[in-house]
Amino acid sequence: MNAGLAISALGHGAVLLWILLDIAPRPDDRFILPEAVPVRLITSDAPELAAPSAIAAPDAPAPQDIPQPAAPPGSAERVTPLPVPPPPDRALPAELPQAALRPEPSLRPDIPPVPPRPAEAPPASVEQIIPDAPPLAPQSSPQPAPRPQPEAISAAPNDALEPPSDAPALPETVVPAPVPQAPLTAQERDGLRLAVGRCWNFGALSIEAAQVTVTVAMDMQPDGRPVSSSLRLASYEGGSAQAARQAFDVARRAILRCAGEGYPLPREKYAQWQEIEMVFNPDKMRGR
Amino acid sequence: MWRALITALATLGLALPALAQEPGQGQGRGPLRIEITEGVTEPVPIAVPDFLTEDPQLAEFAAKIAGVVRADLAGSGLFRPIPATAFISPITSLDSPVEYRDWQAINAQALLTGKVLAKGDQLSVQFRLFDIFAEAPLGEGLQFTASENSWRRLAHKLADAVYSRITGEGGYFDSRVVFVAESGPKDARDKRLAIMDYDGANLSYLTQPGDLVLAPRISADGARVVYTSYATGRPRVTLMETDTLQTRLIEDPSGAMSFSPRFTPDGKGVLYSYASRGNTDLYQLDLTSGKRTRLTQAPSIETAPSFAPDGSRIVFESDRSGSQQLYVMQADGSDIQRISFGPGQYGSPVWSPKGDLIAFTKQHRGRFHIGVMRPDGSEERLLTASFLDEGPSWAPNGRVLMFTRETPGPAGGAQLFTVDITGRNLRPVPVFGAASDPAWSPLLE
Repeated sequence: MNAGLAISALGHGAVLLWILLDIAPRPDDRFILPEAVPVRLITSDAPELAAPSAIAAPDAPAPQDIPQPAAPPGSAERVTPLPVPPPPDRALPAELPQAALRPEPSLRPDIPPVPPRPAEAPPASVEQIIPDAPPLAPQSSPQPAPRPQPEAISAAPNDALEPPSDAPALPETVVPAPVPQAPLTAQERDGLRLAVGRCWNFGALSIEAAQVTVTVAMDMQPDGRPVSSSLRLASYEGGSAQAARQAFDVARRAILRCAGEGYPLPREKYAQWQEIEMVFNPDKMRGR
Repeated sequence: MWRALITALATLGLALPALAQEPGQGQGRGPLRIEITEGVTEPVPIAVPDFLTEDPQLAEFAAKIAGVVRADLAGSGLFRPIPATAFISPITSLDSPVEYRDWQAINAQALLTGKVLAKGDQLSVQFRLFDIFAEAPLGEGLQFTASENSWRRLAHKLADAVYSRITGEGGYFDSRVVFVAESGPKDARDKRLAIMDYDGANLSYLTQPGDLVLAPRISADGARVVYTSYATGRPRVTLMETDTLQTRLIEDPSGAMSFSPRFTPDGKGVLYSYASRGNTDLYQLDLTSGKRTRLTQAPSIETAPSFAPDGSRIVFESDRSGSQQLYVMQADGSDIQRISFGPGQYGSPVWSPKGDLIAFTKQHRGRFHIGVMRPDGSEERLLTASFLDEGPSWAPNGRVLMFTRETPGPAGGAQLFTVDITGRNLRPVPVFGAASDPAWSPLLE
């Protein structure tokens, strides 16, 4: 009986040991990150709005008064540009009027305007957005260990740098800790995926552009709507820059068109979807 | 030992769910990353209100031009013009700010506004295009000018600009098609050379009734047409100047037959088949010097040549393998490679103006197909299937094919169809009467 138990235990142990060794990462099993794709900003080849010129200005006599050659109608002339700001994808967000970043107050009275988010959101902003989060984090950070004093410190050339011996002690710095949150569930991610996919229309893409995978980066508002001016082409692969631009236009249109009153994302997890990168991968759509 | 093992397993068990999560969960590790792999394929809704004009006499032109633009865009299968009854915002000025929310409310994804002006005895059309959801202009405003008689070309030019800006692909609306207009009973068809706009408008005939003609091709500049004429009783390659309608036989050796002509990409030469002593090979004729160069020397039948757009290679059909197949060779006739290996017979290859595809006719199990493949023969796709589909010709942008579809029976006839190279948007070309052998011109200058 004991011998059988020992044999059984040894056998199970061997199996478990084998499992452990087998699932240990081996060089060829490791997940290989794809190489970074060179990013080419759309801004780089955006056509500039035509400055009013003799050809373009409506008051200028040139295009209307100069006799045009008879048909065929070959070349086109520019029409006076509209006095509009540059399109969102062709200008850095900082150059856009702030009003474009805010939701329309009259249409969305329940959602406060969202100020432009700084490049690096401090952890405190997370706490403000999620007031009901349980206080799991420690109330204060542990006291750092005292630094070792270099021996040469006594020879400090500037006494003014030395705090007076009777100066009050500095208050302890309290570093707010990030609030741990459950990750977005697969259902929540799928909800966003499906909502955007409904508006991702391949119908009018060139053959080449329909083969380009584009990654669109964007900032989100707490109500689930993207900040339209923040949509940008983060990277692309599988085609030329021009094709990527067309694919990006279609992806951006999909994101904005289906946003409606906001994508179905859990507000309490806003910190996790405050910034989103959407990869529009057309592999499965080819031939449809 | 056991404790260490159990601890390791427990640790692993806790770690596994974390490992299974998708990357980029947004837990302080950067943005949330979502991959979209499913979308839709639908025509893009576009609003094209009637164009504005300050001259009441131009109101008819304004409406007609906008109508042709709508028809062009809808006919491409890539756009769906929204009915004017759905519009919320009227367009009162070409320079007024666009009420994007009103157009978003009717799900317009693009808006085209235009204005027609008179400039002496000419017409000008100004237009602007807007991306409704990006709330921004799509490119800058443009203006085209032409005589009143060319108002349809103005519309086509404008539609090409819209098509190109939204799809990223070149347009094809401002183009013409040479074809064989057919009339009479099926067993005694009268075939005349004719030319029309790509959409069937502005039809005119180039030859008289009774002159049997086949397989026309139009030069890159549209100034000349080459075709096979049976006016002498035998097939002869014939060249026509389209402005004067003057013709000349480019091969006239007694007793010989020449047929299946195609222009070289620069229009200065003609490729064709020449049959002598029971053998048919491919030749190239320099139209300036009259020098003739033999390209193939085989006991089989070589015909239907078509140059790659860069002039470096030629695709043609041959039965040298025992059945009709497609072959590619260098422009000087060297390095002949077979590229079609699927079941059935392949013929009438045409190289795409973009150079990326070769269109062909395929016959298999009693059915005819129009298909495309890569120049190396890979990625073959059949786009159509019917009793008789044949003779594809590329649109200037390499996105659309026009071909002949013949219906069976005594009452059957030939008709021209177009199809997108995705296989979608198969539609007849509205031509008065029966038609066959289309040859699509490049975009007009």
